[in-house]
Amino acid sequence: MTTALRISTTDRFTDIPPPLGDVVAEYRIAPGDAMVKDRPWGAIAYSVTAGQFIQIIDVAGSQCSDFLAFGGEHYSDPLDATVTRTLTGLAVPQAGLPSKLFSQSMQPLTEVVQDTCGRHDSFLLACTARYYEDAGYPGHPSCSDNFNRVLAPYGIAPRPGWPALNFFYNTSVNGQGAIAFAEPLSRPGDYVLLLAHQDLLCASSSCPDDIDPANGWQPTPIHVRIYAAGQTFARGMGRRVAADLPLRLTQDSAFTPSIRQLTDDLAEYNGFWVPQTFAHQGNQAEYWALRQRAALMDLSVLRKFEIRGTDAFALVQYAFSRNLEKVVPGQGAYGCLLNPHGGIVDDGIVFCFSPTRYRYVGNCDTDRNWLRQIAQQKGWSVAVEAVDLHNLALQGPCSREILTALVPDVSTLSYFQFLESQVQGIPVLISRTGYTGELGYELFVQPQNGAALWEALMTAGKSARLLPLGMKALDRARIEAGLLALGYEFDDLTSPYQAGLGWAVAMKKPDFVGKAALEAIRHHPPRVAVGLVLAGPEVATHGQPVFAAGERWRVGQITSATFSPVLNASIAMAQVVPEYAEAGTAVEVGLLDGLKRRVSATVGPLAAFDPTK
Amino acid sequence: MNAGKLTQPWDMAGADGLVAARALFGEAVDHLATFQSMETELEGLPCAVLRLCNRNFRLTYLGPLDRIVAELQLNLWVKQLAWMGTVVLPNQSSTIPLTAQDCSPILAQASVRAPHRLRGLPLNCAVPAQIVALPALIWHHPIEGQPALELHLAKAQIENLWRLIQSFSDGSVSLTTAHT
Repeated sequence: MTTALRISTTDRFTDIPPPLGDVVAEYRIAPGDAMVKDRPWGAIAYSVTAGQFIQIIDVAGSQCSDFLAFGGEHYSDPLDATVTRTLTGLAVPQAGLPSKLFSQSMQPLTEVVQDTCGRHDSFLLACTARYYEDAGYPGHPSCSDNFNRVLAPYGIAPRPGWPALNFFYNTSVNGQGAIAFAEPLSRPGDYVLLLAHQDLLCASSSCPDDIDPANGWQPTPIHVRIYAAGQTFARGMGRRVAADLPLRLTQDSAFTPSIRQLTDDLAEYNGFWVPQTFAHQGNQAEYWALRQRAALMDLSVLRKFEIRGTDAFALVQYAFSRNLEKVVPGQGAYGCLLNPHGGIVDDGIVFCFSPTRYRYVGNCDTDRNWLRQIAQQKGWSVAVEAVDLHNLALQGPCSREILTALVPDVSTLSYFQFLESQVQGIPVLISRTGYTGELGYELFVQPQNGAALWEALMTAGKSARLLPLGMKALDRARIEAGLLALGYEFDDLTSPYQAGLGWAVAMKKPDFVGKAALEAIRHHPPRVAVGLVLAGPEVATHGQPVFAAGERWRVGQITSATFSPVLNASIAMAQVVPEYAEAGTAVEVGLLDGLKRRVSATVGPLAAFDPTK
Repeated sequence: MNAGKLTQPWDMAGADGLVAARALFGEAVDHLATFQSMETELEGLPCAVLRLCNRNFRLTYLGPLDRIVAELQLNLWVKQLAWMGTVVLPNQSSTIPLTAQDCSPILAQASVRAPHRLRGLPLNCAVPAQIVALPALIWHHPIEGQPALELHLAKAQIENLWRLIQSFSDGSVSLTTAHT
């Protein structure tokens, strides 16, 4: 039996990220057609024991590495991508829940712990001789043949094509069902970190495909590191949101350790691990706690930026859609950041501390650079910095009573006012704001005080039967309240007049970003936001068509939808042409393929539920 | 251990599953999340309602649920699943212990897949689980007023479960199984 050549772990590689932990073995795989004497080329086979970690690194970027694993007795239970897709419900493996890669017998073989690329393939074979033959390259090395070569010493029978998990292979399925591929999204040093759930024989390739974009026409090395068992690596997905911002791995908020005590159902959202529902509780109970009593949620995914300087007011007044002239210290205003063609860059709240100090709370890491860019272009003296504050939202009809017991001054806060105070000695900023449509507050805190604040609020809310609330219930509540979500109701091609935020645009301001474009759009936006109440219980989904009643043509599409328990109705937010936006207009929502079933719906206000707050 | 009368559950599901449940049991049924249940009455008879999905429900009910639902003229099916059996482990506390050491031997052998949690499972909650290698739905709810564990599993596996339980308890356990 031959084994892959191990590199001494004392060797230093300067072309890849430093080790994440205690390395027990590492291998450099030359590109598949390199055939370097005494060095592994094309593919390697290697053993790992349960609990060890496998890091597969794309050294130079844009390089695929196909992966096989064999568990069970005598390596009889291979990794199976179809089983994995079926059990995880994911086309592409990812870190989080679910994250395991399963065998043919449905046993977990490995688990994705970290992934800095996020785009892989689980549908196609590792490249085969047949592929190259059909393309006019008979005899071209292939990953499948390379796997056959390195697996033969282990008694594993050859196959003309290996069904592998193809890391960094950038494939997609289009609307017509065709599978396409393109240059990988991976950058130099991108990696996938796997945890072995059992003793495994693994094989990794450095794909030799140089005849198409699969490796950018230039195959490059793959590096495999094995880490010792017993180490802890934080789970994370890498996110790149802009070319000028670094990769960001999913992080915990200051409240996540407390939340993990109550649920294992967390998902990546905008760079953070956020709870979806809480164990033994469920989104229904969370929803009703919010609507009838009180609920506590972690909204630390919101980005906070401090805007300071003599021209701070000039910047926010020019970049933000609202007129902030009358927003005094201690007040905030909801609106949006705009781009020059009137598209919504982000929505959020500007808090005023003084004319030379504001805080913007929104959704995007890119907001800082956008605000800085505007300030620079205008020659304004102002600094924009990200602020590391995490925040909880305490929402619901009992929220005032709960919070007033801790901070009596809260009773004086009007809508969109804020104060700085303490909760049991913990410094907090409390604003009367929220994302649920209910009476509610948000509490901003330094990360080191997060756990204490969570505990204090959970304890204070016990008598009111406060529940922690996850994203599923929050999404239902925000749709009922007609509140917008980035990527659903708006993006940078959507104007505020289309998204339902026309009321938040101060056209009387002398000038602001996007004003000229919005002057033209406002009188007849291509579509306008409305609420729909559907006949029957079926729930629509984002992107489904809205038809004129009884007609064959579309008049809009659904942006968000849910079943509203409080209204006992299926509701949706939609964007329709202005001619069909009047309240009471009858339309039809196309479910399934838009043809098989149409459900009648009635146009109404964007906010289907608007309690007194 | 012993238990009282047990019925073969009714299952109902369909596009109008929630509409039917609300018509039968009122708004309270829509306060249930998936795998949560409530005890109620239907036409004067006790009824336990377990929500399995948005529009799927399982009920223990002695009356003719199929006839009652048919009168609603809605789009859903109602049946007693011929291949599914029910076993009851009586006299469980109102919350399943937080640690395996504190559990009954059979529960100590059960595992669940994330994000489900078996430990600390309160009353009126259920969880899909594997008891050693036997797949079962463990439903923690009152039966005749007493907290109990109702296990739903393939009828073909009931004998295996029985043997498993006896192996943990030196043959001292008597089970109640559902009558179809």
